[in-house]
Amino acid sequence: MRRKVAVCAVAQIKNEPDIWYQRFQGMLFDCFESIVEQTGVTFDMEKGIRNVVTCSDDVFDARTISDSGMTDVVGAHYRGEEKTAQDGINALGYAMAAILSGHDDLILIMGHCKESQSESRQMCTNLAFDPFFCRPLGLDFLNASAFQARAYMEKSGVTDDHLARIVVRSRENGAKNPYARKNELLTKEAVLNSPMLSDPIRELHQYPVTDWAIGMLLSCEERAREFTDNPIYITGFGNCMDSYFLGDRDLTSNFALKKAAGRAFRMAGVKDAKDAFDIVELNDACAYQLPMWAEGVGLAEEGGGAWIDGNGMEKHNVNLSGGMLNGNPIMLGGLARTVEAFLQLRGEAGERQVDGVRKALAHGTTGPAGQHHGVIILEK
Amino acid sequence: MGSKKKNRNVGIVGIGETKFSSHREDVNQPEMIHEAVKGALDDAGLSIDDIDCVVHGNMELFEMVHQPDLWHTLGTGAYGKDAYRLTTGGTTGGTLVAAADNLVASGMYDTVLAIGFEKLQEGHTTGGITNMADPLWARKLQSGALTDSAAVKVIAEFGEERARRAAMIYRIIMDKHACLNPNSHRAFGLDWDQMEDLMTSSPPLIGDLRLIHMCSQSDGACAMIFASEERAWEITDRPVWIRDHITIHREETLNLCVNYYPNETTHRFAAEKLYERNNIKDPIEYFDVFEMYDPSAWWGVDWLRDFFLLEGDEHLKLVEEKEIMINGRMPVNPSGGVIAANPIGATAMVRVAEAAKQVRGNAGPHQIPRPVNHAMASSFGGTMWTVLFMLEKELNW
Amino acid sequence: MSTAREDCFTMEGKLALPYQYFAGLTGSRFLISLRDQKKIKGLKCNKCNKIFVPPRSTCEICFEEISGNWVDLKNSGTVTGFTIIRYEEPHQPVKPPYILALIKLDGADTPLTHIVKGVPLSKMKVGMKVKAMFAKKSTSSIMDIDHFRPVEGKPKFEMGYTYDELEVGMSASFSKTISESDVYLFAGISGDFNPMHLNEEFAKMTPFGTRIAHGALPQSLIAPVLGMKLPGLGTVALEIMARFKAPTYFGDTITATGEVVEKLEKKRWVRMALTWTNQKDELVAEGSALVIPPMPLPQQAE
Repeated sequence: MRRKVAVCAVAQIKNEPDIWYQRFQGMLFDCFESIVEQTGVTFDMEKGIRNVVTCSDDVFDARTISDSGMTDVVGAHYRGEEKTAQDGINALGYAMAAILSGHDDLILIMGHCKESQSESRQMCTNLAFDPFFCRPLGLDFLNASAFQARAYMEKSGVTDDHLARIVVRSRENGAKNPYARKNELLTKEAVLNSPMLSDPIRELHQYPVTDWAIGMLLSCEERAREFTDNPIYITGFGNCMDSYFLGDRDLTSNFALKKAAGRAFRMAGVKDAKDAFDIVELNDACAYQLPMWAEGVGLAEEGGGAWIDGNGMEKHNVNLSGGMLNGNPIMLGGLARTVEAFLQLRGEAGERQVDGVRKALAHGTTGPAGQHHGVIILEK
Repeated sequence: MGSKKKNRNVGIVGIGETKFSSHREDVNQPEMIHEAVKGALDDAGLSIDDIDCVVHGNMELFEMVHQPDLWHTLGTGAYGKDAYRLTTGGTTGGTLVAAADNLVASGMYDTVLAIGFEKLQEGHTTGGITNMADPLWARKLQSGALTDSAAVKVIAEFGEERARRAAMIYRIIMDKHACLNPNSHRAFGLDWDQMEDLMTSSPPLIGDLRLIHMCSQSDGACAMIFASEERAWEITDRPVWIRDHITIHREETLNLCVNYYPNETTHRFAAEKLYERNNIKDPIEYFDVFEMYDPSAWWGVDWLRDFFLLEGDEHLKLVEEKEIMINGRMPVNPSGGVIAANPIGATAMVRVAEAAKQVRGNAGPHQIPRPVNHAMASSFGGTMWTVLFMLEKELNW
Repeated sequence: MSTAREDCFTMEGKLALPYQYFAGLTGSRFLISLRDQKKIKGLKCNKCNKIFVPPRSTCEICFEEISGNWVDLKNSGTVTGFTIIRYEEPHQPVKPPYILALIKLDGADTPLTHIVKGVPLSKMKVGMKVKAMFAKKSTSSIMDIDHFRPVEGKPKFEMGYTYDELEVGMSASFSKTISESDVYLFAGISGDFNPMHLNEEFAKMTPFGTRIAHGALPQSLIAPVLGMKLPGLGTVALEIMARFKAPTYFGDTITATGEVVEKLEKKRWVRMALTWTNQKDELVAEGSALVIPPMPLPQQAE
């Protein structure tokens, strides 16, 4: 028998470039109150939430053990709290395990990140590299992506023009999403002429600095209807780690993503990604990643360039939310992807709504050039 | 209480610890982790290919490596496997065990490797902990993890003379245990005749908290392997079962919860709930060993009361009558505890690992000299968080 | 949002803590070999039959202990991937733009990440043969390799950057310590035997209180920059302007720097900003130059 857990509710604030009017505690508390209001969930020791899984990062919070700064605003006062320090998709995977284990009926997931707080995102991600052989050279997640972008574009036939189309489309989709970061709509020419940051990645190819917070209530299958009439189920999850040194990896192989997706597909009984999903949300921190991850999860076997030319992004309803590229903070990309899948499955995606969505894939990445991938499958 | 029966049972099948030390210049972070991982694999008779999933944790700002599990893949063996990272301050090691238990029990993974580590020599621990305080309201006032609050409390209740003696008896017991444990970072060989001298001559840190009372800053890693019941029996003939675990946090940032709960520590609250749902009436009678996360001798003394739900001066008597010694009625920290070694991200996992070794009966020179069937292990973190575990030799619940 | 920005305080903070990282025995052996022998070493996993660099004591893939299996690699290799970093951040080792490349050293199976210099940004490509250039001063780190530069196709004269290769932001410098004999020789060349340059007793009466160098002497140090570095051999200087800001005393070390600030598309000329600074980082002079960069030579055309 396939086992699943339910997502009962989602609460989010709007993605913004700089939430100067609120600390992260306030951002989380807004989400927390909304979850309680939507579901009527309690923190009763018998029947309520006994464990909160948070997602945040000490470096971006500039705070040791940053979950100490939010225990009570996420409802963990005299309850459990466990912080996942990876992309939030893994918080969902872990929460799923906590529920399927029988240990908890309910898990509240609370994630936040204020990228605007740090002087530079790249300075933070430089610290993810070892201090001996990589950090001194100035490696960071942006230039690590650039190595991958060049190698991938060479192999897949994805061109600068394709990337421009991806960015323009992301902004158009983002404009239809009331919780997405408010960005200017762009022309293809504007993207093609945007300055190079780290060849071949242009300024507009990279996701913009963003602040955001998110809450989600997960429950065991049996109790979902106590909290919502319209539960959405997580039926598959998998993640995978690739090698650390960029030089040790085949940067274009999608090694970790293929494995992560394979595990999620096995769990959910998915045979062929190409016709399994009505909605696909991929964590494209840089434009080249959208077709590359699409290949990794099995949507674009013909290669990313041909897939885009064949209208693959529309055919598979990829990133109707605007994607990471429109702006979600690091750590939360996978949760943002899951939110879109959830809303589409519930029929609550507003202007972006696709008819008859029954199954969706959401994806998150952690680390430089997708060292770690997580894939989640959601169903009605 | 609401915890349902576990989806499936989870056994501890492999344990690896590095030697704990103030300095490990000979290895870098992933290499130190690898020592523990190798130890756990050898202990279980497994190869890295047998592991489905790797769980990693420590405190990023103690070594200032952002998302260190990425680099540490060189030593953890996570390449090509599912991998999670969880961090919850001092409780990290406990959270990792709880997570591994959940991941295996869920049916998603059969064999999970969990790794806690810290290389405190590489950073500035007190500075790192001070950065935990709220940058607006508290950071300029914080003094790392040093506090004499427990000393103040015990002294206020039992008087200076009795309180100071109890703390020093506790301290010497822990050192005697540490001297038996080959992995200890600090084992001084303290003896009873030094009590009076230590109570006055050890350098004071804050109030009645003296250097001798306080835990060390250590380098070290701990790795543990967890397997489903079916898999566990294939791997070993003496798995140690995780019966239950509970996590209780408390941390006020906005004072939303004033007067909501009675004035009770998370330790006591966690213990009450854990015993209630596992039907433990008399914990001292039930448990054969307790591995406690005791950051200082003062806390150690004070918290005995909370964990065992004691009243009055029962906890002081346990210490004064040396019942917590390895051959006593309720052995506490036969490993020497946290005062003997504190590689923070590993410390709480070491408590579970040491408790499990006692249940297996192969802890080495610090093995309790009588059968150990029921064990408890605690984690402490934040300004007041608890993770509490019950381990069993038999599937008896 | 009804909240006003000025009602919301922002507190500046910094996580400034000391850290010391231990490379371990294996990493240290690699670094010692770089420092003392200028040799790059790899580690071989016999099970995976792969030679890895940077060093690691266990094979990440099969988990075998490999810390004893040292292999000498060549200090040359092939670029397998690269990016040109154009954004500027404090964590970068050199001022952008700079090339960061994956370099597969001869004898290794996995590429090493490092900086490539000595090639115009627009000429950088995958497959290029490069060799390690070691730093003059050791820091006992990976930066003991200062950078890699191309090995092959070295022409008799290495011509400077052409108009197309030059980019705004590129810069180069030349430094020299000005001695008494420099000043005396310059007096001979120019015929300017003014006692304020040559006679200490006279110079004591001037506002400077001691002898100073001719203004044109430090100014002339920009010539090797423009003619031999940036743009380099083949450059024609059309105009050099300078405003003197501070005197040059005997023994001062003057650094002349040129930076490309504008490309004049129509004429294919380049405007450069010039600065002269002394060892105290004081501005001695500033100015500008207009140059015709070298034309691509026939034997160098690709």
